[in-house]
Amino acid sequence: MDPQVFIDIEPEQMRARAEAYHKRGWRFVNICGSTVPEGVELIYTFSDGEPFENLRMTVPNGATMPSVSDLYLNSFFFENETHDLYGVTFAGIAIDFGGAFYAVSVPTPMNPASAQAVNALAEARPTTSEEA
Amino acid sequence: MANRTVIPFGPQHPVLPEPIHLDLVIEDEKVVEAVPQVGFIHRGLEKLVEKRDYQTYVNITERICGICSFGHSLGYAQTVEALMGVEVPRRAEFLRVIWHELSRVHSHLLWLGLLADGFGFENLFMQCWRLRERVLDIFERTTGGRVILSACNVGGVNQDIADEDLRGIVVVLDGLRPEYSELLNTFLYDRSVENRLGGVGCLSKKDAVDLCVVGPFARASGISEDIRSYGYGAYGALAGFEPIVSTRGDGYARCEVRALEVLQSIDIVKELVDKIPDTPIAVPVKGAPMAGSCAATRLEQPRGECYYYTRGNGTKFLDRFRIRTPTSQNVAGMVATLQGCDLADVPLNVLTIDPCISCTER
Repeated sequence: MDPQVFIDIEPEQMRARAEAYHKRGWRFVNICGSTVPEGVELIYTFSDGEPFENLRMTVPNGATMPSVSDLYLNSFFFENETHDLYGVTFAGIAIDFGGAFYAVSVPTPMNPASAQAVNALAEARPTTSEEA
Repeated sequence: MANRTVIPFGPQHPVLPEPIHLDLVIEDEKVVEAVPQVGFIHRGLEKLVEKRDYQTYVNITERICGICSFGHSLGYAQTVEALMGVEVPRRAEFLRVIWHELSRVHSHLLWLGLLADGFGFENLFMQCWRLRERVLDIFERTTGGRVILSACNVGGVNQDIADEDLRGIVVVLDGLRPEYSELLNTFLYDRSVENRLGGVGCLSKKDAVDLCVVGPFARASGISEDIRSYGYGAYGALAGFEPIVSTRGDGYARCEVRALEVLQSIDIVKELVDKIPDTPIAVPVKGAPMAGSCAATRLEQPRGECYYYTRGNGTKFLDRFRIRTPTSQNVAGMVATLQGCDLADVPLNVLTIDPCISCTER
């Protein structure tokens, strides 16, 4: 079974860590978002054959993270996905779908507490005059 | 200067078995840029883990895909076992790998058939799928299902294979091997196949490394990486395992790697049948994963490395289950093979990475 290596870092450290992995020739594996009470937990996974490490950090809802797609082009898939499902914005994605990556009927369906989802619900709610 | 045209390709297209869309920027007949899009059938199956307890959810994971169905149940089960510190009996590990390798045989035979169909060799397509039926027959005889096996549980497997049935599997595979070798001969040495696939959709080793591609797609570009070679589970019992690698990097190489992996998987199944120990097939798993516990594992699916992640919350319901499928990792590599290719080669190039959008749109 794969060794379980989870390294807790601050979001500001992620970019430098990714650059270090890239410099050492490690492969980018995945970005996994999940909802936690403080916002969104992000896990970036890198691998060098059998060694396999997960960087774990928590960002507030609606946060902006630097993209790593200039280092690892294939990350564009996961950055667009995490944006559409969790509302985390990635600055400078190589192929940015601008929220149209997944055809989902509600914004950020995996993170109903995100600012994007709350705003969309507020917009959909009828105004007082309309209700009258 | 040639005129540029944008041609929308997919999501409905005769050669695409599943919905992926490409915006192809064409200059004359050459593709200069391709922008991929998925997301047409996103099903939210990861989210469903919040509504099904961790034992029941294994049935959902099997339904993520109709080709890698057993692999997904295995990947999920081994991740939850890592989360809860469960040690699976040795026989269950062997049975899991036997079914998983048979799944690889049927998946590769399916793909080889689709590839043959893609370049117009209808008879080869039919022969591949005819042999694939024998593997599905093994599934039916050993589990009762041909696509959804429902054999894997958290803690082991829920049905054993009797010794005479294991010997029966070997007999079927021994019968399949010479017939498959004739097809292999056609795939690898027939001039029409070589002419159609050779030099098409090349991906150099450097590009494959930079784009982090996985599975047979990576191995066809000279990357010798295969999760099976780390010896996890019953793979550790094999006398030796060497990934099948080609250095050509073109469509022919991707065909060659998968075609040879069929024989490799048959050998693995036969070796494990010889060595399978006589132990229980499951351990009871009770309780719930601890709050905040998490685990991540990888599995070599037929299309390449698949990543699984789970997080517990102290109840029977998991907080999060994540699958990163091989296709989502290979999309960037696929786009790279399309740049500079002829428009007529686009369908075949897409096919040679063996995309599984069903898994990707879990």
